[in-house]
Amino acid sequence: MGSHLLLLAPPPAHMIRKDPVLEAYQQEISYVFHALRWLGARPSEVEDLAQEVFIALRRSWPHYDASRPLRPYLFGVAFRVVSMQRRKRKREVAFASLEIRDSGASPDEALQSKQARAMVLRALEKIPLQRRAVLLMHDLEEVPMIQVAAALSIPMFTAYSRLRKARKEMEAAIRRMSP
Amino acid sequence: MKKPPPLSPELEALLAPHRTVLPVAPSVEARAIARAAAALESPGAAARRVFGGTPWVFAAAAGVVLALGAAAYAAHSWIAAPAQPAPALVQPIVTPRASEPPAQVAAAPAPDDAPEPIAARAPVHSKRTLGNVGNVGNVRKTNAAPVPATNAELQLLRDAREDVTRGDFARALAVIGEHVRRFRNGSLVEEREALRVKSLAGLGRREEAQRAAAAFHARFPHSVFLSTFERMKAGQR
Repeated sequence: MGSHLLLLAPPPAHMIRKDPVLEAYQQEISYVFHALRWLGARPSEVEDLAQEVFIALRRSWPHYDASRPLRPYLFGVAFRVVSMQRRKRKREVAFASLEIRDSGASPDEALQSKQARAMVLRALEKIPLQRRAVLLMHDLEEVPMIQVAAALSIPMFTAYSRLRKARKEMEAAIRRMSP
Repeated sequence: MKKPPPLSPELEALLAPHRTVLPVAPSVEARAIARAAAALESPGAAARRVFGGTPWVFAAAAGVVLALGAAAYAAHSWIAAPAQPAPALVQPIVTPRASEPPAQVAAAPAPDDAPEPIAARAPVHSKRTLGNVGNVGNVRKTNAAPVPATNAELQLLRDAREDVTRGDFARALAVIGEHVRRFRNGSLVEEREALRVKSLAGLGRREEAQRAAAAFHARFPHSVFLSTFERMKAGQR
């Protein structure tokens, strides 16, 4: 259930302690949400998962090489958070049925761009998370493969292999969805 | 190591429009930053996992409270009516509720057409997953303490949600009314009221939907459902 922290109103800016991790998080908050959504987090979970990303980022901050771009690192953290959450979700009772999600008939989803986005998300759902993360990082975020491998802590060969398979799976999923 | 082959034109066309990182809503951003800042202030609390944390402390506390309550109720019954045969030995001990005097609990069999046996309203389990759905930022201003969701309460809201998904908003409202009648201050009030806003909006009762949304906002100012309402509102414009 919600923590007492959730009851707090946003503190005024001058009261927020200067913290490099918080500053980085604040700067990239939109990217964190973006990455979590593309990694398959449900809309109702994204805020909680973003908080998890922040906590994990804070814990791993000493290992972050500040000379490297932050976004691939953040994506790697988000990937681990989503992976962990999925493992836990399998063990817990699923209550997804209570989520309020916009139905297909809602005006928002009637928009062309949303439909395209929904289609990409549906196709991505067909790809296992480990391969999806590589595809998203390289093909969507345009992160060089060497950084993809570093962020996900996998060998380069594995990263290439996953990318190749993920692309095939994505193309197959799109073909199946096309009329 | 050589570079991977370029993306196929089909995939490139599909992914290209989504490369832009869209900014999150200011309210969501403010909430996320506030939570992160709060985690900095109290790292102990922050270390607790949001998903699948350790609910055993709460479960143990709840167990102790329930046991004490049951013991107090049994002692009270025994002291108040010493001449009667000891019914407490054969009657199920249910959670004492302020709104239900003990006489009701110990009453003789309910008629067949009773809407719900009292025992069914007792907490069936204390899994934290039950109350976890969409309760981020939940602020309950009711005087009564939140009661764990029962299967009946959950089932009602599932029905209402399915009605909303099917587009049968009138029926969803009827189910919501039933939920109000049986579980006015249940543990899924936030979800119920969110469904009410959606149902009213779905029926085209815009003013009522707006009033319900305003009331929801006042009652649950940090709810994740607020962003859904914002999207609905934007879509209606």
